[in-house]
Amino acid sequence: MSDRDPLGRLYEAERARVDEPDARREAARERLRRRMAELPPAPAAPRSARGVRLASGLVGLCVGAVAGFVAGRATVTPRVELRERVVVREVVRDPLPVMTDAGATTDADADAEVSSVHREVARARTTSSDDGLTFIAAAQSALAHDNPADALRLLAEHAARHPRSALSEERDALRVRALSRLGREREARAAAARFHRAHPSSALGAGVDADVNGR
Amino acid sequence: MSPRAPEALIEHLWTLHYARTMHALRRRGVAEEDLDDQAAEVFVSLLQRVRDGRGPSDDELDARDGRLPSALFLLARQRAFNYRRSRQRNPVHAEEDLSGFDADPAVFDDGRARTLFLELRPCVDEDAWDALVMHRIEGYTYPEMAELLVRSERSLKHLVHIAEEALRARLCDGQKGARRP
Repeated sequence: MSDRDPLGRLYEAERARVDEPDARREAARERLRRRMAELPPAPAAPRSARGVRLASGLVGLCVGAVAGFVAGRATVTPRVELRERVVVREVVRDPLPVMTDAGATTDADADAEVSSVHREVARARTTSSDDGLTFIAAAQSALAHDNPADALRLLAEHAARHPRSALSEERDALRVRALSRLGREREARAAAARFHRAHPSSALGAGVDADVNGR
Repeated sequence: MSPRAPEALIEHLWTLHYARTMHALRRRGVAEEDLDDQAAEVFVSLLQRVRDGRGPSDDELDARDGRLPSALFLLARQRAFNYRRSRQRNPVHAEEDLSGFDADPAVFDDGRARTLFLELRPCVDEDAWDALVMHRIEGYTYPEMAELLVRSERSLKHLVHIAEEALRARLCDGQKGARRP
């Protein structure tokens, strides 16, 4: 064998590929025209891209919320019980002591149990008032429009801005799907494993498995 | 993007980028007999995006350095991935014929070298193969790949490295095997 780098030789040959034969090109053009003709006609008044994305995101969120509600009713997790307890205490001890942004109480009389209640309330307040929903909706929309790379960027931004978001379950599930669509199977499988560890009773678990297994 | 009708735009893009789209699909595991169908689907996907008002920007349709525009490249890559997944192809060992391989073009012509290159694909992890093809064959730089694939340059360099290691090992083994009496 010659002393040339064998891989370099293969690369060189592959890079030197030229055009396809004319006959094949013409047959392929006809095939494309037929496929384009088979498509349903374009809508008369196309909606704006932003409107489409927003609508798609909202529909996805509604579906996710319903699925989450159904799953929550089926299996009451300790976290749900805690939140129910929080609501009761809010009613009994209203008004609650003043909270700082970090979630630490300034009320000297608050005992340890009340502090934990405060943390839950502060978390709920934070998540209900922040804008994390926008990122999740946008990521869902990007995935719906075959743009997993954008979805992954949005999910990363959401994770950076809202690390303890109540939407982390949806975020993690979407991340698995985005990775899977990008062809990064190994990372998708790892993300799916992390998802199952973090959300063992999630209603989204089956969907995550389906994404990873390519169903 | 130009204001022409979506179908006319797609045909124009098809004329410009048909061959590169075929190459991109072929290098990513689409079988020769399915190439035309899969290439048509890439352009049909683009047409649907344009019709829905989600068409690519001029920048995404810019074909720099003789490469596919990024909009078409990502669609072709995704199409090839879906194709491989739908075919459930998980071959562990390639059926490539390494007998007589020689790095000298006078001995082993381009056609045979190209065939051998594509036949070696199953020896390499999918991610690593994709990174290798993008960098070594399609001419993407690491920063460009990192932006397109949303990965770090370091991980991409590692992928290319492990792909080349696997290919070298396979070529080396094949040569030893071929020399055996």
